[in-house]
Amino acid sequence: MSALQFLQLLHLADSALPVGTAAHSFGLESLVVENDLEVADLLDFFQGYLQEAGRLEAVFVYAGYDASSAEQWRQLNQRMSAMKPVRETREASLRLGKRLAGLADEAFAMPLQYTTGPSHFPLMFGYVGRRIGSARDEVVAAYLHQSLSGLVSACQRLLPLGQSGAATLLWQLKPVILETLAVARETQVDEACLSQPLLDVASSRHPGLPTRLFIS
Amino acid sequence: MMHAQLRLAFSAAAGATQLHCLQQDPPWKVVRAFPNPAGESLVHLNNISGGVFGGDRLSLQIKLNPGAAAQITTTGSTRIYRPRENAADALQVSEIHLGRGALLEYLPDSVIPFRDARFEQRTDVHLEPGATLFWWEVIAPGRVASGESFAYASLRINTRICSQGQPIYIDRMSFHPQQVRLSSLARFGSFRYLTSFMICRSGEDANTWITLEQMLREIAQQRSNASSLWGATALTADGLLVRGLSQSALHIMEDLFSFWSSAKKYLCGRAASPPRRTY
Repeated sequence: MSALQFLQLLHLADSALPVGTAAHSFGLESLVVENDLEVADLLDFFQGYLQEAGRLEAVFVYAGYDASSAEQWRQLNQRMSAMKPVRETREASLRLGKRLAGLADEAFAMPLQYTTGPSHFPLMFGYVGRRIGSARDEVVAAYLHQSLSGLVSACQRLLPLGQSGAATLLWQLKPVILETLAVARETQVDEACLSQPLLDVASSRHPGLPTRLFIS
Repeated sequence: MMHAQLRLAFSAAAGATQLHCLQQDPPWKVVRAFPNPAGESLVHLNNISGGVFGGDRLSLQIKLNPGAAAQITTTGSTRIYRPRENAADALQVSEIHLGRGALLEYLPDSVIPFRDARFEQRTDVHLEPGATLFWWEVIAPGRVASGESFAYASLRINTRICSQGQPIYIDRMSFHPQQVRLSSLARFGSFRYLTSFMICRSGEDANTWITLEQMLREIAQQRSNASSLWGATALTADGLLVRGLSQSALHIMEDLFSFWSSAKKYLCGRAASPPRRTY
């Protein structure tokens, strides 16, 4: 990877990338409010999260990286929509994907080829990562790091988790990111599983919370 | 070890729905269909071996011809027995096809995977325009009264629902309680029973689902408490998922009836007719 590609991938993986990830908790807010998710649970929770949602999304980042036609792109997005049953989470993923596509086109001067139409964030991230010229595994690792950073940042707003605690958590989870990546690399899109019923239920209950900091 | 097939077809004729049993290999057994008060043809699925054994390959095919209306239930929980060590994983494959304007209510009792059980359930549902589906499944953690909870070896649930050829719901869950911690808040937390209730109609307007989602969300709110948590959410198109987690089985059926009654009244304009008086 050249120094420029490295810098561009860092930029893409920055949780401050202006696509809107900071506005979403993907069900975490409900878990905190209704299911007593606490700081002490976070390491275990994020290990489970990476093994479930993280793995599924990583499979789709690989697929977005490898996609090569408009029809394949459409089918991948359709499948991902069907595999994300919770409306808030699904719409969040599409919204982030749309913003990343806009950013790639306008700010990065990276015209889209076949990736028009509704696009999920993991697929678009994989596609943009390939356009940068980064290696597949590095793009997927960057994606998982970015999404995890966003969720840990959400926890800092929802729970008494300080900057040092957040940094420790992210550091401890790096090996789990690599384990997730290794499993996802060997998983075909039609074999990918998602077994996180409590997070699904929590996400679907999010609109009913009396007060909300996050969109999802 | 059984390799058995059950093939059922339903057709609408003179205001009623007729059952055609095309094939039934033991342990599958269907005796006859009964008209229920709501106008559907009610069928009980029996498994005369009492449950599913290691290495079993059970296949279920259900076809509803245009305009047919059927309600299918079981006569008891589906018990997934502990297999012999060298037995293959038990497998049940269901293929369901709903013709134009058909209605299927598939309302089985719970699935109970025993200690060390290995089971895979594959379900494919295809909906033609105007076809309506009410489909629930309840997965127990095991024989709770015997102190078994998440003692099974593996449970894989693969469900796919397509509306007019397009996938609207793909649920691929894979639980290995001896390998991963199911009590993680990312998975089951303190809950043990998992319920999924699919409500679909092919070609229905998106606003219908948003309205129904709101109605069922209110019920979910009322029905949730410290031991049960329910949520309702619209799918990408043509359907809605109600999902619940519970610590005990006690109120699951009562809660499901509540969602089903409201959704059926809203979508079909008539009352839901429970397959049994008591559960």
